[in-house]
Amino acid sequence: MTTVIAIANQKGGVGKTTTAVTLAHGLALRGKRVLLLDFDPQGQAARALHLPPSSGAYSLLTMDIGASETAYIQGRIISTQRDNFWLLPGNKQTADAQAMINSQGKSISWVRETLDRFCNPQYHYLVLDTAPSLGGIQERVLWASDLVIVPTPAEALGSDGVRQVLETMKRLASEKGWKGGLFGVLPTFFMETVKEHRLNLETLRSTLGNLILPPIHRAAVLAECPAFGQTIFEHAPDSRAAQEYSRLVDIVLKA
Amino acid sequence: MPRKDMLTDTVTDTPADTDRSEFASQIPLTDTAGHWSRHGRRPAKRNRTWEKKHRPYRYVNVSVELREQVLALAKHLGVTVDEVARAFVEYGVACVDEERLHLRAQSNPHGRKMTLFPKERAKGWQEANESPREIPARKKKRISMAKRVYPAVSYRLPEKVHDDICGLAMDLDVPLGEVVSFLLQHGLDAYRSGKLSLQPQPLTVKMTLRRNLS
Repeated sequence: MTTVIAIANQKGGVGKTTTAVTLAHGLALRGKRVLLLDFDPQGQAARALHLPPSSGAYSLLTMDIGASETAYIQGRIISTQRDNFWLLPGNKQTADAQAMINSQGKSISWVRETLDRFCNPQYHYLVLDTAPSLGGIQERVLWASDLVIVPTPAEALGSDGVRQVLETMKRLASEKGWKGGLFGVLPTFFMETVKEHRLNLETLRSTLGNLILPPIHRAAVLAECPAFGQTIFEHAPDSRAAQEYSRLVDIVLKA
Repeated sequence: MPRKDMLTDTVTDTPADTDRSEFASQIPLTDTAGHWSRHGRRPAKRNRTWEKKHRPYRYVNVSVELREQVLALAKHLGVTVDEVARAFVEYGVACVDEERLHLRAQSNPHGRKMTLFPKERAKGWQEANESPREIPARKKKRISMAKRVYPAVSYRLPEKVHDDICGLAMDLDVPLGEVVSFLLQHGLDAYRSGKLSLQPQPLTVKMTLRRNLS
């Protein structure tokens, strides 16, 4: 069974793309076949791996669900030159898909329907990287997912972003019959030496308890990864950041 | 100064705890959300895969004294008793192969039983003209607890080593325990006399973090 994991937060710069790319590669390293889909118009999932952004996500969102369309979209999937790890890139055209989806009156389940073509034994996991906004695509992407991971910096405005995405999820469940759910909130850019970070993490834990996943600490090696076109498991496999993301992979594998 | 919790949009100065609040109860969750946490989690079931793959072989009628001697030597060397037993068996089998140790089987007086057959050889029954006699009442056999318990040893040996023991036992038509007893005794004698040397080697099975004080 294919599990669809969305990495979502309406706030920007919280580590969504880093988390999506690293989680996808971590799962692939454990022998799971993973397709990373970049629904962010910035197309940075491909950039982070030194691969060319393309309108693969746009094609997926705008084309019908037929055999010929599926074959075309399969052709837009590129290999990341890593075992078990493929990417459907996005680019700025992904933003145009939103207008088309709204004008065509696509249902909330549209993204799930179009993703179902990949929900077969070919892939164990679909990891969806989302845009830092709230619109037609993002809601449909959330609705399409089985698990949602919400990365957030341990700062007050990060908590505000978490609140917004959780409210969206509540609404999707209560009004749109969404069957998926929150898997966890992932504190990112965490620094134990910063009192504000500690206090915010405590506040998050006091509200969400064990839904707060083990934090990812701020690390220079994580910032370096895109410059080398590598994930943390390749760039600094012995680093604390690699261990922390590895733990996240373990937790997801147990889900 | 009270802080504003941007998550719940409330002003709070309450200390943190690890339970979920009412706010969290309204969030749609996956079935496995929060399962990673160690809070309230049952201890993981011990994985017995290795033990299942490496079941010990049990050999009966190996004396307790012999077993204790092997155990004492293992403790002295800081290795497992299985390794000492394996070393002795491998050494003994090598000696047999190189004809430096000769195993000869003979009939065991404790293993003898009486029989009336075959008639031609044993002449167990035949017609006679003897005086009348009584058949004595059967005595109830009392087996002491010490005799009821067969002394036995269990060693995790590689399959090949066990097969070697089985091969010798089949060739000589003796029980496995006899072969094991013989080889263990032979190994102990060789170790005591200095003919056999056992030198444990360090093997890293766990890593630890080293503090760099420089």
